[in-house]
Amino acid sequence: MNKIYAIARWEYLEKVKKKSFIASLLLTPLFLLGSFLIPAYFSDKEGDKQKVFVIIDETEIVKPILNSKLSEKYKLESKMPFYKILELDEFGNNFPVQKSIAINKVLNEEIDGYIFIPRNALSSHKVKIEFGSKNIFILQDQERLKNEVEEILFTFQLEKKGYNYAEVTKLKPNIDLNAIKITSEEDSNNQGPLQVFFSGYLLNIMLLILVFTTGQMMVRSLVEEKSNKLVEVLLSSCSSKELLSGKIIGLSLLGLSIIIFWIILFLLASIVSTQSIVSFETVNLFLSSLFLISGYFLYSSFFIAIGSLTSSEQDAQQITGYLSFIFVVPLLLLVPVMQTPNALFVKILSFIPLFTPSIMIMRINFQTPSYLEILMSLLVLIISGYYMTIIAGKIFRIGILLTGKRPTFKQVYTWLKNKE
Amino acid sequence: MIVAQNLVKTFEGITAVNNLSFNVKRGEIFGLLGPNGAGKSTTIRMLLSILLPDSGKITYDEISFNDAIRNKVGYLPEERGVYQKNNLIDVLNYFASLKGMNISESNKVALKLLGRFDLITYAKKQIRELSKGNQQKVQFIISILHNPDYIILDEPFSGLDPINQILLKEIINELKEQGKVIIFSTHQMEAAEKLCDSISIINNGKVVVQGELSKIKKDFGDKTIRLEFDGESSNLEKNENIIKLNLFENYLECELKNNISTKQFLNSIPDTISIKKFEFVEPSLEKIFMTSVAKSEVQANE
Repeated sequence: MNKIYAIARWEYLEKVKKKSFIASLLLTPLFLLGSFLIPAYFSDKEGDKQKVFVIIDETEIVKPILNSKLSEKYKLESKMPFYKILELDEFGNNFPVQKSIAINKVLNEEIDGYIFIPRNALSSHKVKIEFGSKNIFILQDQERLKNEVEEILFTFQLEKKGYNYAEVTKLKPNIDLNAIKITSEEDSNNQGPLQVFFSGYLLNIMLLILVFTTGQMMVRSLVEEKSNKLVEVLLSSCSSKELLSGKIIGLSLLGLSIIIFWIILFLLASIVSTQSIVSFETVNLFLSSLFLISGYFLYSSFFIAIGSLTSSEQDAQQITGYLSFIFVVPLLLLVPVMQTPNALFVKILSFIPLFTPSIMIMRINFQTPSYLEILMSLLVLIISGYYMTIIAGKIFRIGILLTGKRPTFKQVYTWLKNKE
Repeated sequence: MIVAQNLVKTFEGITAVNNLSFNVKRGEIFGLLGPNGAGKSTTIRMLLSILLPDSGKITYDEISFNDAIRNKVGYLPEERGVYQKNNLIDVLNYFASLKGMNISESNKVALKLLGRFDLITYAKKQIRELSKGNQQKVQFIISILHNPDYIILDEPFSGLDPINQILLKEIINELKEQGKVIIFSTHQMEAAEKLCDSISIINNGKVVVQGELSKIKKDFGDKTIRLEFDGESSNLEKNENIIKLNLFENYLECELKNNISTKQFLNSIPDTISIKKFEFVEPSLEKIFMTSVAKSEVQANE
């Protein structure tokens, strides 16, 4: 027992002192925070660059109104209009020419885009407006222009029928859809869809980074111990079981420290900031942590088994590269899981141990599954974690003494069949 | 006393160690010699219970390997390397703790040994700042720090400069005087010759020559003669009592046939040759090694 403690202590302290560890500890939350805040910052701040558009208006009525609306409503920080409308008056009413000129200007990046309003816009109910730009993802501009044109056309139609637009809009109810995730009566705090999404996403990214930084450190140190035969000195001092247990415990404590550190950081951040980007429900956070920790346990034995099979840094990197797929798959499934958290394929994935932690963390946060399902999948995860340590032990015992060529699957299989 | 009885170990059909037996008493230095791939490292790994023999038995003072014995074994592996980025003293304390020592105790001993090996200034430095030779000394310190009863050294001298080789030999001899059981493997026959009380030369996993070194030399060497003379040497070339002859101008080394005594040989030397000096030559361990390994190869091929 003392030796297990000594090994765990060594593994823990040795890695805690590493620069890469401190970096992952501090930089990860910063990076995550940054990845949420920086885009938000930039998209909130409209930027100080004026956008230039051409309006080609076959109706000849919409354009002047649109012009004034845009310049009134949307301003830069410097109070200048956000949208500058470039006039192509010299071409008179020749709209096809105007359009081709506009297209040219878009291509030459003289303007950001053009909007084409067809003649039938005033008469027909279904109107097709063309929006041309190099980047079709300037969604904000598209949305604004569409809304403004819609309003102008609506006003036109109303007035044609003798109604007053201002009066009518007064009657129009103003609905603000507030999507709230409903869980239990007392706990339905304001969890918006975005917040729920980020909560599931954040926890997964945390698991990923946690497993990778610590796993890679473990593999690297195993490779070092193998290549200089330190492992023989270790094994002349303790049994392979003690060595393995010490390493797993050390690694788990390492993971736990990171989790605790992050939680503290998160709590501090939520005290300091008034507006939260992510929101966790206490129960969900607790359940997620259970999956996080048992998942981490499974993965660390997995990494130790792999580490004991590799004998060069290169091998180790290659293999951890393959392993990353295991974590990328659930992240790719993030959106489908979010939309249909109770679909059959999601349920099946929840019971594949290597995917269980990430999928269940997402599900718990998106739409908490039944407690039975949570319990069952957690049980599957813990049992497979337990068996993984046994498998890791068998691989470790033999693999750690091998150098040179990587053993084949067949060889590893025969080791696994060996009963001590 | 370490007793190894009929050790056998095979790897995927290849016999690495084949029926190897030896025993090493307290206060004795035992040399495990053999060419590359002879089975030395496998034998050492079995002694340390890192590998389990397929059959055979190893006892330490009549007890089979267990956790208590593990704490009394010191081991220096052939490949050298220690945790590079850690402090020297931390590494020493870690390995001592794995042998059941507490930190205050190991710290004291470690500092003493670092002083002895002229490494005290590096105690708080990272190991990667040490030269290769110094790192090797660190590994040796690790193997003896916990005052083990059984010391197993794989190629302890390789890579050390002559001054440190002498220091190491000194310390090994001290350990011997303290009554430790010392087993070491080496390619360096000169070192083995100076240190070992008994040896085992193995090849292809089998014992080729084994026993007390002095006896092996005697058995091997009492037929080798060195002769200094004046006179016509060609007369000696056809001497029927000789099997092997190295003839020089006024000097020869020869081996006598088994049934020939020294007296018979001396009598057979013609009067035209006057003998100036006559001596028995003990064969060097290197010669014993080369000859016996070569012989075993021939036998294996037959």
